[in-house]
Amino acid sequence: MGYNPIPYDQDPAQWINSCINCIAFSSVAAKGNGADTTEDILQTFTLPANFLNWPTLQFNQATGQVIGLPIGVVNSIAGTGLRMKAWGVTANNADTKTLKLYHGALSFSFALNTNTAAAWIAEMIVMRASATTQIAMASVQHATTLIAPQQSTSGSDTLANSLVAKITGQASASNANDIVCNGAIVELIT
Amino acid sequence: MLPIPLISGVPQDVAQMINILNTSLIQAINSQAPGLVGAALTSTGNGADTTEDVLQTLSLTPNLLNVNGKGLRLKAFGNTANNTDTKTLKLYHGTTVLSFTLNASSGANWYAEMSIFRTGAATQVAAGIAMHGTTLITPAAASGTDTLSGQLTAKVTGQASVANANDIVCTLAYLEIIQ
Repeated sequence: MGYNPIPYDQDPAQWINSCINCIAFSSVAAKGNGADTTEDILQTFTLPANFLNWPTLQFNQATGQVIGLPIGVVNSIAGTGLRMKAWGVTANNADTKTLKLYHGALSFSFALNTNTAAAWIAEMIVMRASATTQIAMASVQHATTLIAPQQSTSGSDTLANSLVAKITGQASASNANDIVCNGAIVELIT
Repeated sequence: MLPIPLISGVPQDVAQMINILNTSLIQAINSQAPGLVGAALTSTGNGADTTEDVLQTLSLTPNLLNVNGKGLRLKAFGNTANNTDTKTLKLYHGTTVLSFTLNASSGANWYAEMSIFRTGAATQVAAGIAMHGTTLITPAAASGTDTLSGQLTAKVTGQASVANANDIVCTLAYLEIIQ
């Protein structure tokens, strides 16, 4: 709501849509870890440059065009953020199962339960503190277990750049689909 | 769908068109769209006292909830010190308050959420949850009687049973409007 400069260029609907709280990205293509012990990407979303860093725009009356300031040149809508939610299931075996949530270089790692075939749901909130700093938290529930929430005040990605939000899974043994992510969404908080 | 009103009248020039768009259309869109109302990003802990201390404050514009069914979602997260002090976390909308007793002896992160909805010009219903470490705190609910045309404040407070600073720290709080 409220604080984004909505211009009236040739495609105002696109701008309005981009400024309103919404699901910006989603995937319901289920994907599990591979038959390996490496960290595997389960879902990935490429966030456009300035996704949390709206440029200030100005209308040029002479040309009738909307001018965007160069990428990275301000606008200070501190607080604009995103919420990523993901969900899936785990296999019933003793393998260690590590779920990670990423926004750029910022990540949270959770050890899911072993020996349980159960659903999990994860949430990560990333708030813009400045053009190059972020505050974030994440929480995960696996079956009836609440895994301790985590937070970070040290996100340092440059929001003028394109960033990747992703969910990864890693197992301690080479068993495919120890961690499966059935879907994920990225919502804008703006 | 957003209940954005139609704009009538014929602009005479570009400057007038800009003014119409800025003062009518854009403000209408901004006021009706769901989303972020505000965020408090400065990490703050309770003081070295046993009183209730404000950790984060967000001021609300009058009539923010101008129709029954509209609501607000206040979310906050932070951490606690690892000592045996009783730690009370409260989330407020005006005078409506949800209180959560966090775990003692747990230096852990917490996360709390309060949802409040307008049921009348001066009545609200609210409910919320909190988690602390691996503990899900019992959900809380309350009824509110604030006059929504007035100036209200949403806030997060922390209180410790012993005068130890930073028993409860709130890293961030933000408020979204649901409409």
